Amino acid sequence: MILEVENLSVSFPTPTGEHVAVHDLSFTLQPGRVVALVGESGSGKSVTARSLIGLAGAQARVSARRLSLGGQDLRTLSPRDWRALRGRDIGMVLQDALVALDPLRPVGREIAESLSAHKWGTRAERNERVHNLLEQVGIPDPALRARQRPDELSGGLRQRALIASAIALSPPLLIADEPTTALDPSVQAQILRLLGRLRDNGTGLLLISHDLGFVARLADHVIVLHHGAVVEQGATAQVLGRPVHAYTRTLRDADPVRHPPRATAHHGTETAPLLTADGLSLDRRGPDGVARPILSDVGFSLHPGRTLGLIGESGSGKTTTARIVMGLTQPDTGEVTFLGERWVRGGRQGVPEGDRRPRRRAMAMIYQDPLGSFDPRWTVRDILADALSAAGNRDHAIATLLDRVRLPASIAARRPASLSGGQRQRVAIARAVAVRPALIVCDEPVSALDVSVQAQVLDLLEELQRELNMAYLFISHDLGVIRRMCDDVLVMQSGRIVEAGPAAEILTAPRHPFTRTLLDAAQDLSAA
Amino acid sequence: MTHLLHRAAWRLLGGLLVLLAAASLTFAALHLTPGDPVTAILGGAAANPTPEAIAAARHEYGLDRPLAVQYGLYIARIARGDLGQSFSQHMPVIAVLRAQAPPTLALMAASLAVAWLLALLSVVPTARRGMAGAIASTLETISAGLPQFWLGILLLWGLAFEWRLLPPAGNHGLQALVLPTLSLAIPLAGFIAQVMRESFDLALDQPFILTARARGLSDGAVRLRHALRHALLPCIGLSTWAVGALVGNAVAIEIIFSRQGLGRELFLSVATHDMPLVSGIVLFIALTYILAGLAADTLIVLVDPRLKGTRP
Repeated sequence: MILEVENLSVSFPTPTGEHVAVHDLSFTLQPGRVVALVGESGSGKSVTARSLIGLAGAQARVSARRLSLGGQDLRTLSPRDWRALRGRDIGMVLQDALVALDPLRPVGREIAESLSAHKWGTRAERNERVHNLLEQVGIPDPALRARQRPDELSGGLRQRALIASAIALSPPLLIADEPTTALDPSVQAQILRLLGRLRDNGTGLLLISHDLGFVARLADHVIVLHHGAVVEQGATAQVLGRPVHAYTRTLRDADPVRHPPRATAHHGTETAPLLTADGLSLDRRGPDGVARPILSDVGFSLHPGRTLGLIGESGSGKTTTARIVMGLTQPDTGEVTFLGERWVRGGRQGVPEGDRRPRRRAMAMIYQDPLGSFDPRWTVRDILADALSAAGNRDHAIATLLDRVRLPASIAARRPASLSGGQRQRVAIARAVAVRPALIVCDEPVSALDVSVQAQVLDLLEELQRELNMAYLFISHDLGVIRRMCDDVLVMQSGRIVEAGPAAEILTAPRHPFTRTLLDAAQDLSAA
Repeated sequence: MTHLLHRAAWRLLGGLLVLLAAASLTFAALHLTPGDPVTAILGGAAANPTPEAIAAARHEYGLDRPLAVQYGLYIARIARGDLGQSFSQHMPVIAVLRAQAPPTLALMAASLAVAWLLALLSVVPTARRGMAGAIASTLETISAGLPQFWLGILLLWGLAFEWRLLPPAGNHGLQALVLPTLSLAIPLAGFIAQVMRESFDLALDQPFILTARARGLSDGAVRLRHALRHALLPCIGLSTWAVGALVGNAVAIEIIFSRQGLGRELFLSVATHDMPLVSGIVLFIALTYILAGLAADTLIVLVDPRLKGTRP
């Protein structure tokens, strides 16, 4: 069954006129082949995917010279015909199974629904098929897993369950819309292998991704979209290896893996450490009332002007460590010293906030999604003025601050919701440096950004660090980003530090098997 | 297991504290409002009792003792489960409750059920459907703003007097329940539907809805099997509040439709300063409210199993 798309255009009416989301896109998808749509957010990738299964929305105006699946013209399908086609002829996998599967239902019922929607088999046959599917995507103990909800499964298991629900009726074509975004590298590698196996078994894949490393590993044919228009397309090796179009080159060069690793040790560790953590442990009671360790005996030190990277899978305790360092979570045991004085003390008797307040402004935080950390009613000027007055600074400093993060002064009057992701993160950085901190805790600061914007934000963080001699505690699941930003690295697994040392050493010659697994997974993904 | 017992114990303690607070507030309110219960005891102002009779009654009912002692005796009596004698009706409060509670509970249950039904009918087929959604949403806002007593009078005039479709008053049979139920249910349906519509719209924007559609599920099935369940959660919480509000609104409705019931009885007993009856009814309502909260907590965990273990 072949999907043929010729001159596909999708547009949406807006108050200011017609917005063209996709313009004149043409490609052919065959069984056993992988076509990748590449581009940044807003480039029209997802709209294309939805148009192909008739779910672009009631507002969307879809036109094409040819849009056919196995000879059947998709342009004239009735809603009933579309329903019969979805799931049976084309399956679809979205990113992040935690929200792409109904969070209130067990995954087994979600998969069974793909079968019952097409009146497939009896209830008993469907149950058996669900178990087979779970086994097929590599989920051990399917009878148990089928009864669990997405939030009860690990990231890798639930993403596989989502794929199982999409391939339940063995559709010849599968659309995967950012199937690995926001997943840990090791999980990404698992999903990559699973999708590769489906392709080898004859499934045609339409892969949508902004991750060029992932695309390079899987796709035969790459289409680069920019503002809804195709800027380049062709065989993967040709497009990604010798890109002709400037935009494709920008995309490729922005990949942190292509950036040289951090030139470290230009400022030594001979000075007194800025912050030391020692023996941090924290237990939390689960729903069944049994206490489980979240952190066990975590310790490290951070020197002025240096960057310490925190890596590990989700749930390994990275964010908890950051929260303890920020003084937001009280550990059971252990101690943190900041600027030469006690900052956190474990147990019931913590350091009173009053003792910390004079040093608060020496520590700032940058989040993955800054939008939630801004008051939506405030303008950029209000946000920065608030931070500046906390630092006892006034007058014309706002313009200086915006200039420092390379934003035009005109942005001061706007509200965060009207800014792009990159601009927002720059405002968050401006707010953080407004108080002239000695340390900034960065929790996945670029994970939500497009690669080209990512590179610019990382550049900015590096420049500011040199100018202001700040230390960073840097959390990221992206080893490319860690390699480029960090002097030292801590590798965390299940709340423990399994390996620590200079980034150059750990990222090239890891000693602990877990670090090796992490690196191998990342290697698998970026072997372009 | 000990964890569960622990939680059950806290719940019980919380419920008892609510009952104690309800009893104390009733006591305070009745002693702060003007009027003399003795007049009620002796058969109302028209009976014109002698000063000696008043003094004797005062002594008999302990009304000449200091307020603190009266309060202590009152709480102790309630703790023993003795709600006392109604001054105005000259029968045990328990007996009054037993006679008056069923019609009110029936009215409340019917109103809540009809309100949910109306809200579901208004929201599920129209959410995120352009014009139909906008019209339904406007109707919901209007219904939520209708005063129950005004609606009651309107229904009474139209359906009972003009068209004679339904009985205007009384407690006999299901037919007599229709108009009072509608008077209470329509505004409540407006409230529930507004909350339901908001969360239904939000649910329809979630990625798992797109996944479900991409499976080939029909729009109706997506709404009923996926979106609806997410939209129920805030409405269940709202319904607990509604149980409390329904009792208050039942006062006016039971009087307009001349129905027997706790609302009407509460109104009359406050007017006659019938202390034991007022506190008996208030305690009963508080108990109903506590049980409704318990039921809501159980239901919420059934709808959203992720909350298991996180609710106190």
